[in-house]
Amino acid sequence: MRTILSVDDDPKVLAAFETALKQKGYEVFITTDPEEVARILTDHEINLVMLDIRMPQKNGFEIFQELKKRYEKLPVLFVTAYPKSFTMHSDEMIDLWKNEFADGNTDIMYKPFTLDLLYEKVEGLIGSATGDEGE
Amino acid sequence: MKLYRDVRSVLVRHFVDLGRLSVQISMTGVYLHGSLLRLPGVTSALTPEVVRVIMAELSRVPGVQRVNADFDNWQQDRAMGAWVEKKKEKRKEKEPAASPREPTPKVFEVEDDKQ
Repeated sequence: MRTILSVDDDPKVLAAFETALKQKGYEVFITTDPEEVARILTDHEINLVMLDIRMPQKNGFEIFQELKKRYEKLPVLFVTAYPKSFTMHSDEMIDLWKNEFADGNTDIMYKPFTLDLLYEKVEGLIGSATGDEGE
Repeated sequence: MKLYRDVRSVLVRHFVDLGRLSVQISMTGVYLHGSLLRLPGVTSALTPEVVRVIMAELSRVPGVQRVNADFDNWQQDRAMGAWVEKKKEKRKEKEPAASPREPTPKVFEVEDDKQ
């Protein structure tokens, strides 16, 4: 079974993700605490990390860079209500995009979104809940 | 998943905003739906030539037999094959890339109250 970790500072969002993804058969871990991410990734085999960007303790890009150091090919789906979060405003951001997104293991989804789009993005990164790639 | 990764890699290389696009892959090819836009802050805008190059690169991805695109901001001239930007007033930029699977999609309505 494919396993997803969702990180967001809003418990309501996490609960909604959990419900929606479990309906599709995925195993889902959720956390509002970015510091928990490393522990969950160590303790469980996670196939996909869904990351909010604007969080008070640590933003999604920081978490992304940390986990990419240890799990280079781990698929990540950024979920944000702020498309401007991806503004190429600095060399650092451009480097992040060119270096960390180039392998195709990362995708972006903007809120609000349809459930179909959520499933499509998740399946496009890790396949179906049972591991069927569908290709 | 390799096909999806390869398709995303092409889009990333051209600084395409992945959040505005829906990508589906089937036995018949790659299907792109939504808005084909550069990421915010990218100074060089997409041009018909760049769109042509992106589509050509996608069609050369190993395993891709055909690329179908239904962009809400670009269309291909049927006679000439050239890409033409649709007039802005017809665009719906604020809407997410909707999935073509369902005519009346259910919107995920959790509000984000940050800021």
